[in-house]
Amino acid sequence: MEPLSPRARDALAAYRREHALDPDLHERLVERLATRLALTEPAIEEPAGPPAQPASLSSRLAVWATSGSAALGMLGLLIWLAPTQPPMHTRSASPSPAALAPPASGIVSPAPPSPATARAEEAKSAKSAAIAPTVQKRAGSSRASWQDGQASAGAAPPRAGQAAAHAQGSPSAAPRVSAAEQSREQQAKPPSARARVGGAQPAPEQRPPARAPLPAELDEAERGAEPAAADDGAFAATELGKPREPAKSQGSLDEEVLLLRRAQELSTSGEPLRALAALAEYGRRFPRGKLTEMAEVQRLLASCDLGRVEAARSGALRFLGRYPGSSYAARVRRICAARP
Amino acid sequence: MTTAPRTHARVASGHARDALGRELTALFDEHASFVWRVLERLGVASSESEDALQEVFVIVAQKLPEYEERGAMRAWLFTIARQVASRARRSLVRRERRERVEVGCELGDDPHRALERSEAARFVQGFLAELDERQSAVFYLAEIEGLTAPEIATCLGVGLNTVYGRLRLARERFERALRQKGGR
Repeated sequence: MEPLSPRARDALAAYRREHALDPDLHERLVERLATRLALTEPAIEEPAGPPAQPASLSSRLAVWATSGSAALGMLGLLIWLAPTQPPMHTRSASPSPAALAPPASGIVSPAPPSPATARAEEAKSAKSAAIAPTVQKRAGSSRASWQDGQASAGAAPPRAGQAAAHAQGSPSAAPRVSAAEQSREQQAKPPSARARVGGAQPAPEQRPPARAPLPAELDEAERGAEPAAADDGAFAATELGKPREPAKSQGSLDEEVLLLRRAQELSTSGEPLRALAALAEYGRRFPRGKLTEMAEVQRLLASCDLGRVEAARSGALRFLGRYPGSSYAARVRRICAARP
Repeated sequence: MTTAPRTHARVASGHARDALGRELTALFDEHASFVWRVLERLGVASSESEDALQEVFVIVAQKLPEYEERGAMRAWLFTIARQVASRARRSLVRRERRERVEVGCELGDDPHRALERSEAARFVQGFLAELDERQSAVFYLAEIEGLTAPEIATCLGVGLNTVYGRLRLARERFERALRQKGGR
């Protein structure tokens, strides 16, 4: 297979880099994860004493194990080794996701219980709840599931198993299908000086009683939400890989984001008329807004929700003409698809 | 076993890293971005993605002592991420109106995120959205995440030849789309 062109690799690298986890968020999530696991797993807590209320026998064993009680630790090990739930049964009775999961091998180190074995105990007791495999169902979104039909239900197909064996057996010999591997994580971190606006979320609002929209309101909302400025959405080849200009006016951008979030929330909570009003306000206040394209998509969706199918579809055509390279193009083409 | 990302300042979370242990911390550092992108591609809304990422690694922490197939780590993470994403989507579906979800028009992009992306990244995103879903998945895992063909076959439950076939088609389309874009 021919390698990708340098331009293609650059574009993919830009995507990889800009969709990576922000370094600050990464660190915050490390802390969150530690806190969460400390709450659910006494075994990895600081050795400052047992938790206030161990939830189960396994939790108590974990605490005893970390406090250095060898006799109780051995008891814990014996209980843990008891075949309460043969791992292979879990594997064979599970749909494909479980078959892809690692085998729950009973072979462990004969060392006294450690935090690791305590975690295993926890994992066993929580297995059915934590990772109970569920048969994949498409939730409706086109990107919702990548599972092929042949693997979507029942046991995993033999070929998947073979491939897994191949992958584990000789990872170094596995044929590489992409050059992206080499630069994958080195490039994956975005610059920390990215234009990130404060994460303030608008407070949820009380919903007013539902009522039918008045034509005058609709017209006003439609007129006001029409964007006054449009970016043609195209980009020159030389722009590949360059990040966008950071926002010049942070305050204004904050307001744009807040208004659009509000419209989005209203729309998803079944209040398209109020969403349109918020979008109309957006159009008035930010005729050359940086998020005009997204606002336009929201307006089309809200129009569809209101039953204005023809207006939404003709608006979709205008949108596609105005933003031919839009990342929302696929969604806009499907607008009102479920309507007659 | 793994090398941590070099750009991370870890002063603030040193305590958290100690609490998590070396193995789990190394896994998180190496694969968090991978899981983050996969969750996004699997349709987890931006408002849910932090919780979903955490959920994935909670499960990893619980299952890690039993995990022995080290060569297929990303395939394993992908499997867990898919289960978590499935749950996250179902909870989102409960909150959203039925029709919107059916036609797949939900606005998954946070305004912040959309604004931050370069034109090139948006082009790739648009391409992935336009592409046939099966090709898109293979192309994404191979070219964005750098998974090997056997790993992709494991993730998606298809044969190796299928992976190569879809990847070849998707690559051709990507190059063609880039040429068309650049020619305008």
